[in-house]
Amino acid sequence: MFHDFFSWLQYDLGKASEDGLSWSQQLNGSQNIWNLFEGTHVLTLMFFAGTIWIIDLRMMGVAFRNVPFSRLNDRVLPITMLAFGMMVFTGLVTFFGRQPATFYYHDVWFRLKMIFLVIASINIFWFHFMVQKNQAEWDAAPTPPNRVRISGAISMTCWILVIIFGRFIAYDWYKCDKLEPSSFLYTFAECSNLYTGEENEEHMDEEELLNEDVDPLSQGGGGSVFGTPPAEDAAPVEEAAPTEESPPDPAPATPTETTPGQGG
Amino acid sequence: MDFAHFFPGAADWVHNLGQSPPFVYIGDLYAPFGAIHLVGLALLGGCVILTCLRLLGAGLVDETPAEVERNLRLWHIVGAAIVIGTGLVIGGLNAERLYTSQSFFVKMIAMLSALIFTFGVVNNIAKSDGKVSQTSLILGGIAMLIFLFAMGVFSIADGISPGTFHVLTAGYAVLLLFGKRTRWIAGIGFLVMFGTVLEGYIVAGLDSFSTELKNLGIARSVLGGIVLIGLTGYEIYKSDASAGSRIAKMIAVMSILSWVATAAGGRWIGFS
Repeated sequence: MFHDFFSWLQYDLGKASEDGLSWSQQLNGSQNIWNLFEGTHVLTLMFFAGTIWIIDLRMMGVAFRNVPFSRLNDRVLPITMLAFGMMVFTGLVTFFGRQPATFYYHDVWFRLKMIFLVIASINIFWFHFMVQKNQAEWDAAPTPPNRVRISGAISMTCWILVIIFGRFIAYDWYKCDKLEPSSFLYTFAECSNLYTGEENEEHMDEEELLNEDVDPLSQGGGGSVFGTPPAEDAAPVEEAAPTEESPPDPAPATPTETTPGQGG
Repeated sequence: MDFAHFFPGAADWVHNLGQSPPFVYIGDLYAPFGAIHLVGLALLGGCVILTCLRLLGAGLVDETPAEVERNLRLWHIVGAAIVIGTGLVIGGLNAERLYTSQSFFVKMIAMLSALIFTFGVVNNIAKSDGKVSQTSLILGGIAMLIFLFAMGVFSIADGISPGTFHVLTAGYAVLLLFGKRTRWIAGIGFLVMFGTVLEGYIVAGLDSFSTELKNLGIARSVLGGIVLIGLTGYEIYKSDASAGSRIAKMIAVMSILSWVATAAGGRWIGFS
């Protein structure tokens, strides 16, 4: 659905520089910037998920039972919201900087993550506009009514799944090149869009050149469903990140000259 | 500096660990364990942050520190159990790589300090509503030294030193949350930290590996660290007349940052 847009982000946006690389490709080839943003994205989990779960646990009646919900919510939610803003910002940079069209958009786990993000958002709206209407009636109750507890459980479950699926993106078990064209997952990930069109083929060649030493589509787990163990920390994005003392081979992604006009 | 440096005799054991029971039977479960490890970290992190912020006079201020600690005690333990349980599995399955990883060394050292801070010091201080006992003081001092050692290794180790960025930015974020006099400066500092990362790359080129960028990163870390320590110290010094309370606040900040360093060390295992 959004393949063309993400392809534009990946291949064309900011392509006016001397080396002909888009901003996304430059970010992909940067030494540490992607790592810093992705690392922050992961670490912000402690501030975001960790605090929202405390609110969820209160809604479920299993923590802070003696504290009115509104009191807990008013104190914790600002922290959660700040962290959420940071997660979204760093998440967008992370997405933009690592092949949004070819690595993320057609990834089964990424799509599942997005689905549960949407469900979590719907749950927030449901809670805010429906469940919270009569908050005064259950605010101080140690065990809130069922619909409050259900909303809390949905929230907690969704964020747990968002984290788990987000982590699984690093694995290649269900990347398009490993799926049968007739399978549900192939359709679910819109893999046919990834491999069709002359323009795409041209881009795929470009990507191969950019990642000649590390192909994200061939990294990660192994053949079994949950992968060969030690590949985990060797998530594609991580492996692709060069170290300080050993810059990668002179692929087009690593020019040493200043490339003006990239700032946007 | 890594575990291979300190325990060279363990090389054979480490090499064979992944092929030995129980790890040889659960290799396929590496990924889910790794993902659940993050879930545990988030839960534990949330508990640590709320407890420490309470000691810092922020967050759940309508409850006493003891009440906050009592309500979060179970979840502290659940989070720690998940993190350690899954960590042992993924560590065992990836032992050979971790044995020579500087980042893993930092993570383990930082985690030791974090565990002492959380379960040996902060929770006891919270139970006593902010009073620092002599035992807490001694344990806090030990944990602080361990944490500083971990940060020292983190900041000088080749390839992973940029990861200290996470600890520094988290420090500014914590100051933003609890600071009363320096909140806005902390907010600006936080933005400047991220801003200079982007600015440096925009000036030198997003795909640049220039020495200037490396130097800019070092300068940012040093300056950012000095300013952070100064602001946090000033905020704590001005916060309360009670010396005990000030120590509790200092320990609370260190506790949060030690967990952040633990997580950052873990993340940079993959980047290095």
